[in-house]
Amino acid sequence: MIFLAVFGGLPIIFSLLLVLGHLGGPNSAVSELGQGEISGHGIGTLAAVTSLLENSAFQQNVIATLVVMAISSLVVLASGATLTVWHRLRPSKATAILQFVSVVPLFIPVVIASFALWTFWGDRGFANSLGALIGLPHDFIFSATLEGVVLAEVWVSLPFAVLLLRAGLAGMSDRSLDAARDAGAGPLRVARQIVLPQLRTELTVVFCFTAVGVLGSFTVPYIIGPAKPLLLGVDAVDTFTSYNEPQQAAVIGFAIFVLAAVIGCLYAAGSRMRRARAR
Amino acid sequence: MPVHAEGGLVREERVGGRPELEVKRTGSFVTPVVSVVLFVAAVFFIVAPLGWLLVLSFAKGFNFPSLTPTSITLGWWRDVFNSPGLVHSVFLSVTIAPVVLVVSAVLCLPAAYAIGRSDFFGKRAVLLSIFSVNAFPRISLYVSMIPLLFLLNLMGTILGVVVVQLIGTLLFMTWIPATGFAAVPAELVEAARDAGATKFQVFRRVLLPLARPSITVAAVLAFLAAFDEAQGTFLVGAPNYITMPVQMYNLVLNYPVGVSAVFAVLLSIPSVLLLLSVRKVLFGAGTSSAFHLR
Repeated sequence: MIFLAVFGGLPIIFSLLLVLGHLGGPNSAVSELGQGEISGHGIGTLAAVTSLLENSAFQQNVIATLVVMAISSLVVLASGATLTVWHRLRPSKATAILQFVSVVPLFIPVVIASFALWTFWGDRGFANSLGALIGLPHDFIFSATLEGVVLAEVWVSLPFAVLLLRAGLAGMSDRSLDAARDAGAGPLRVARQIVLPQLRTELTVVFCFTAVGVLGSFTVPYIIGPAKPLLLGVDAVDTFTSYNEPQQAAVIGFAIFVLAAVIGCLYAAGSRMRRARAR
Repeated sequence: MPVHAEGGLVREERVGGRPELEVKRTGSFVTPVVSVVLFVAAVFFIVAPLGWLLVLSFAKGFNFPSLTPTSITLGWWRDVFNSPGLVHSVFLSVTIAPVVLVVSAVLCLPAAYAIGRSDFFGKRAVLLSIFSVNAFPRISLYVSMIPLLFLLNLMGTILGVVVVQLIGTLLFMTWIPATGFAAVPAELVEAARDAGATKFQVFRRVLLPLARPSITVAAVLAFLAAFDEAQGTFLVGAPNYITMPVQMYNLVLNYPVGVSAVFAVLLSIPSVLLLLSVRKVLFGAGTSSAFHLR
């Protein structure tokens, strides 16, 4: 607990002070070396924040991050739900293998995953070569594009979704499923009308965790993403290490946190509404 | 294996129960085709990139768009084993991650026990703060930790690296074992007490064995989190402590693809071994209860 307070709480407070323009005290070690800082007095200044918000490159980065986040989370949600519900309703060797395979990315370090996907979907990659060999007219190059980032974020986030949805489905009674089947409902109908409504909590958690994960991700967009627009995680690190602007990096860090907090609030509001309706 | 056990059970019921429905359904022709396409697509999407990596680590080169290498070589492997820097980072990774795991267990398991087995003032606050540190985007947390690490003289030290990697393990090591401890039925504990077991005996003989699957799952996830950690380790440990994932960045950006592929294959070996050894636990009931949400 103390460890958490010191290495989790304090840094957040320090970085808030830095955002507000307090360059002395605990931040002096960083700010003395940094460039382009705006210092504030009293409670501080929001000048560093506003100057960033007016920056058009930053605006594009925010939009790119949000779009990638939304699409990746939806794809993870849809494919995770398909895999696990399929296995729950019509279990077979194939679905068992699929579930096992879908958890494999959890065990592959993210750097390796990014590198593997980068070469696989690159211009001389397997996908593009295969496409050319069988005479498909399009290029299958996704490295250095935002689409590639989505592909990789999905690859990396799928295991957690599968594990969580599996846990939710394991707790579901066979009786309601059997009853619906006996009434003549096909698997799609059982999935839509019986399984998915009961799985709503898990689905929300998967969506929110994936969204927050994508928001704060660095490795995947750093290796696979385009040079412009950048995802915010890459933007924050670049600003810190390449441009040596710790204050601006802290502001970007806070922007990521605010976006993550918005998702968290949406989740909390959603679950409160559900609980109210259940009562 | 639980997956097959529960799968077999459900299938038997259905096949025995209503064969006539199986015939009547109009989608019965489309479904197998769709299933096969989905299956192949999913396996291709997930596994093929990893297989491609293995091919690259032995390939001399490719003539686009040929999928077979021009010739096979062990040169990339020789290059990796002949560079002391790369070997050193392998050594660093396999020593630091277990240390982090042990420290994390010592710090978190008592907390997990307390959260799971007792109600104390501020329990919600403790859980909430663990979650919020985790919701705070990792990369901005690391960047904002730097002033503090400078103050404590931890920048560029091995202790700093351990601290940074520890952050990512906390949530797993508290949350999952806590649900494991909480899932032990109160009657079992009471029965043991009635039989004259001391508090410690109850913990060792009843709680610990029943919570072990969730502790195993937590340990696996925590180990992977530490082993995987590159962003914070780079910010804090560079240039003295370049672990394998950090080295991987360097390789990806500056070395021939073959060298990176070899290193990637090497770096995957411990993870894949871990995956195979915990497969049963991961797909067993322990994980389901560990991720069970209230």
